[in-house]
Amino acid sequence: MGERADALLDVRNVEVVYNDVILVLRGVSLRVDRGEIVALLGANGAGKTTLLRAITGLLEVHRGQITKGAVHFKGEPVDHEDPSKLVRAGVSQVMEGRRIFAELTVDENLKAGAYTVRDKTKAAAGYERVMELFPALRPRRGDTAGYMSGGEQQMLAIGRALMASPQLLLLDEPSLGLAPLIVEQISEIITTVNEQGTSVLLVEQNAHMALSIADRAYVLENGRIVKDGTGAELLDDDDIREFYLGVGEAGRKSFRDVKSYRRRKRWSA
Amino acid sequence: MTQFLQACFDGLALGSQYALIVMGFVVIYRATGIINFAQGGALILGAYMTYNVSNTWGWNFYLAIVVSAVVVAIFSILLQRAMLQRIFRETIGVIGGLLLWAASVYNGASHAVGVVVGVVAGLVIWQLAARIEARVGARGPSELPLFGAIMVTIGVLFVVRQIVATIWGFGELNVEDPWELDTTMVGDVILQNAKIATIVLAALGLGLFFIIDRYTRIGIAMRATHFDHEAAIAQGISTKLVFATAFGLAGVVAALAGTSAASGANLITPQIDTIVFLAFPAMILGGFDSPGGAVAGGMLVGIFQNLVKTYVAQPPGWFPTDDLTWLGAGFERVAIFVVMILVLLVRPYGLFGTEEVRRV
Repeated sequence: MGERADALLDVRNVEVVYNDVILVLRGVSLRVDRGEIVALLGANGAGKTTLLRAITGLLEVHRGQITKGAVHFKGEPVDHEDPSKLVRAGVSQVMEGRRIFAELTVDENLKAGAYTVRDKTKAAAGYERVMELFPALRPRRGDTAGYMSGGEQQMLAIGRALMASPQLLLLDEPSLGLAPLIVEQISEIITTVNEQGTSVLLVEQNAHMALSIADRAYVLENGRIVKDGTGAELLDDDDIREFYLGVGEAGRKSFRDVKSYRRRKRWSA
Repeated sequence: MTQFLQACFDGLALGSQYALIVMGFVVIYRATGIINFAQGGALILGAYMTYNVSNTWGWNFYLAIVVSAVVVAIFSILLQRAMLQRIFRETIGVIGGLLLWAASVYNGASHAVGVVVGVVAGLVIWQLAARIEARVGARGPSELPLFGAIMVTIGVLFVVRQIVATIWGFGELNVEDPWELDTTMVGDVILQNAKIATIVLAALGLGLFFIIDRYTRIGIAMRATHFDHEAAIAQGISTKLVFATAFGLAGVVAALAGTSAASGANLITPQIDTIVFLAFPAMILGGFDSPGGAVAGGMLVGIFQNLVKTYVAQPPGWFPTDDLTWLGAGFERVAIFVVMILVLLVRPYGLFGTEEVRRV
């Protein structure tokens, strides 16, 4: 783990409130260093998406607000920045549920992703890079994006985010609703993108997929980070194995035991 | 046959006007979700600006159209900034000031006095609104609900009518356009030059719009914002710029529509915006969010309206009765609403409106 100076993204003690009353994040700290893949695990409602919104400045759309703490990107505070400034600074995101522009063509989706890229040659280079990463998109360039398969749509969504040549890529559940084979492809692509020099913050429920490619990982529950460590450490962790990977010490669990789930957590607050 | 072609040509010219008007509504609706009734005000302003520049200042007529388009575009963008950037008290101040200026001029004050009254009143209202906002505890930039914004646009429409009447009076004015009452004969069909010009003007305006919408960066941004607002923001698309562009483009087409409604045999009055309400069936037929539908709907309604008008006045030979006068004068305007209702029964999203793209 690098020094603080290496931190590309630094979230410090962030608290987020929706509609002035609903406290979703209760002091979350998290760091992504240059060149890392960091995974963020958590069940539904843990606050994963909210954390991403806090980073990208999309909270305002949902009437949310950072009430405490700070988000720094490349050492600069970015928690009250305009979302477009953040994209320009080098943070792109793939939103949960893909959120491609279904009525636009594949090419138009990619052009929308390159909105902040003013330089034509850079935009063309970005486009070529996306086409190399996702050869399946090339023959479908002129097709309406909404009619593609879920896997292709996810690839388009990732491609669209890469068009801005980000330094940090935020991925919100890219494996959602996809077949295991496609999930594997996606995780390979994430690794490739990372090797090409983009740091990744990967939010996932598919713990196996996330931990197998992550350098480090955090576990978020009820708006708090309850565990963190390297990917390998967490893969070996008994609690993670039991609650996120579904394998207990005695092999597969019976559903009869699920009732005692909450009580048995060793870290429970 | 001549009768039919004549009706079709006149319908095409009328349809071009409808298409320009509907396009203004569609582009704003698509970007912001607002039905901008102030579009009618923009049309009035466009007609009078063209009049003012070409008649009063004596500039070249075509230059007058350009000036008018620019002025109305700026007016539209300012309106949008006031409404959507939520500087609400300023808006109220400006509107109140303009109204009091108009009121004092009606009551016999000179323009100079009127301006002073308006400025003072505007400042007072602005301050009052700010106080009230502080009292009710609206913190920071409060969001104007969509419905509220639509109501504001209706208010703006009425204000613009009064302002225009204050400056240029209630009387009928004749814009000195180069076409006047000249006609061109093609076979037995009489083509009024002003109507040909309307069609050309619409083709230019709409063509420009489609090129921007299809191929430019801001065009793609506009469409992306329409289909998924949040995802568009996440791409770094500036919604402020998208909204401003939409309102600006709407202003340009409104100015063109206003100018064409003022050209040829037509005279202008501050009530020239009634044509906006006749364009509504075209908008609903075409589908609210489809620019292509705006053009198609406009043309269909324009041609249909003229066909009905022609054949109600003089029913064709095979028709069982040759007297349809009992339908009343102006029945063609009723007929387009009837057709609109029929189409809506079959296709609630209009002929070209997007329902929602879903994978099968």
